[in-house]
Amino acid sequence: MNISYNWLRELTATRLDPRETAERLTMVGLAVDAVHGVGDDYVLEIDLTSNRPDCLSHLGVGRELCVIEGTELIAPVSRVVNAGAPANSSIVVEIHDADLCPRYAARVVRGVRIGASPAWLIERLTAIGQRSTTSRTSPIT
Amino acid sequence: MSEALGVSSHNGEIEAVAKAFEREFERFARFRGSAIVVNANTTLSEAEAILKDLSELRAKQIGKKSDLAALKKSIGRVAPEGRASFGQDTQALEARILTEIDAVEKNLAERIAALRSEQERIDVSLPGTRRRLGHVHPITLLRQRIEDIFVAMGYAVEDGPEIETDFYNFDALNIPPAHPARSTQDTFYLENGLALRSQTSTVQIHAMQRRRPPLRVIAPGRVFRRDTPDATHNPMFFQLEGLLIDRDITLGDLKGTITEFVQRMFGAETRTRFRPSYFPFTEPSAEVDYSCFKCGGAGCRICKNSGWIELGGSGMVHPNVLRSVDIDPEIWNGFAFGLGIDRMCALMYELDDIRLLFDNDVRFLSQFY
Repeated sequence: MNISYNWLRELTATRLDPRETAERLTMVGLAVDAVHGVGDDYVLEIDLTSNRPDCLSHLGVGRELCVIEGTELIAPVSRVVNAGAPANSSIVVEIHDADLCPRYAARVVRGVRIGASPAWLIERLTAIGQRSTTSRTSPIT
Repeated sequence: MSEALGVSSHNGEIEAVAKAFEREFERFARFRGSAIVVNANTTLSEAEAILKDLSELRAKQIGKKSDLAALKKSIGRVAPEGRASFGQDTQALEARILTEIDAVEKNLAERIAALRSEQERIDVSLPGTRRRLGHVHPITLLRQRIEDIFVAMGYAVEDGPEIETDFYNFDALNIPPAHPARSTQDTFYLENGLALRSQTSTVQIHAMQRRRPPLRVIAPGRVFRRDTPDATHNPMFFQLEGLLIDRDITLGDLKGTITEFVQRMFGAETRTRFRPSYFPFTEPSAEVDYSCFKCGGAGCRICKNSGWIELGGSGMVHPNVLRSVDIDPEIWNGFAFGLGIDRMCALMYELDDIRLLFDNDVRFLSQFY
């Protein structure tokens, strides 16, 4: 898994440089196999073990780094404005087997404009080796 | 031949037979001298072949169907006054042919006898020819060193099959069907639910079934993974597994044991470090590194400038693993570890390609002893 150092710094305000970050993460069990520069950013290649799905994201790795440094995670604030008709007027989710799917969460998002992704998003996705096309398909990791 | 032959024409016929003999005999002439003159390079089989040719020549020259025999019969047609000298001349020729052939035959026979006795001669004072000794394979060499260290610490050496059932390779090691670890194993599956073992951890299960706790075992062996061979990977390689089950075993015991091992292996100044990791069959799990035996931790080519070399995986045996072999985890616990013998071998001998170990080239293998 590729992690952008700049992104990580935004989430953690870490005082560690990319090499130190890699070293410290490795020693707590997030093995960093390689660090390489991409533009003015650094990418950390993390070989994650299957018991740590909590670290399968920048947020997760950031949380780990904050624990190492004893700092607080600077989590991005997301605001949801509930508006318009209830979601079940647009879509109905029906669970056929509660054993296989104990819970299903769905939300309807209205007013999405499909267009080119913003530059900051393209930059970050490119740094971690993903291709960005439009705002609808860009995965946010 | 005409009715009445003149003396001179008889002489001509005798002459012709003599010439014919000389032509045929020419290739044997070099063996005419004493036995010593027989070419020293002539081998036994060559000499025997020549002798055989010579006896054929004898039959051809003086046998019943030979020209000489025909010449002797023709005496009746010789004029009476010439018969005496014709008889003498033909007999003289016959005697000459026999003498020549006998002389060469005698030389060859002597040569053959000499060669035979030479061949059968035994010089009891000669030193014996040295038998080429076989070599211990570098992996075997290293395995024996590791075994010696653990045996000295009270471990028994265990063995297990290379073909395993799902139970030993996965289920008993806390890797149930659909567990993500099963897909990452990259196993060679065989028919009937069998597979080539992908780790020597399978021997943990066999060992615990065979011996009841407390126990201390190591299990060196061959394992198989679906890897494309390259300088650092081979689909078949060697691991060494360690397992200790007793009462009140702690992570401290594991760290102490492994540190003691690397210090006996690489020197008393060797340090270890443990990084949290994950294996289904241990909890908690740790990757073990040891300080580089070459640079002592300063950083060099062997340790890729990190100062540390990976030893392998380790951890405290997962309670589910103990339960799978009916050992009560409330009473017993322990630790396990596994290390790669080939990787250690490649680093210690500074091999740039791990496949050299499996090519079985004698020129390579004979450099290790």
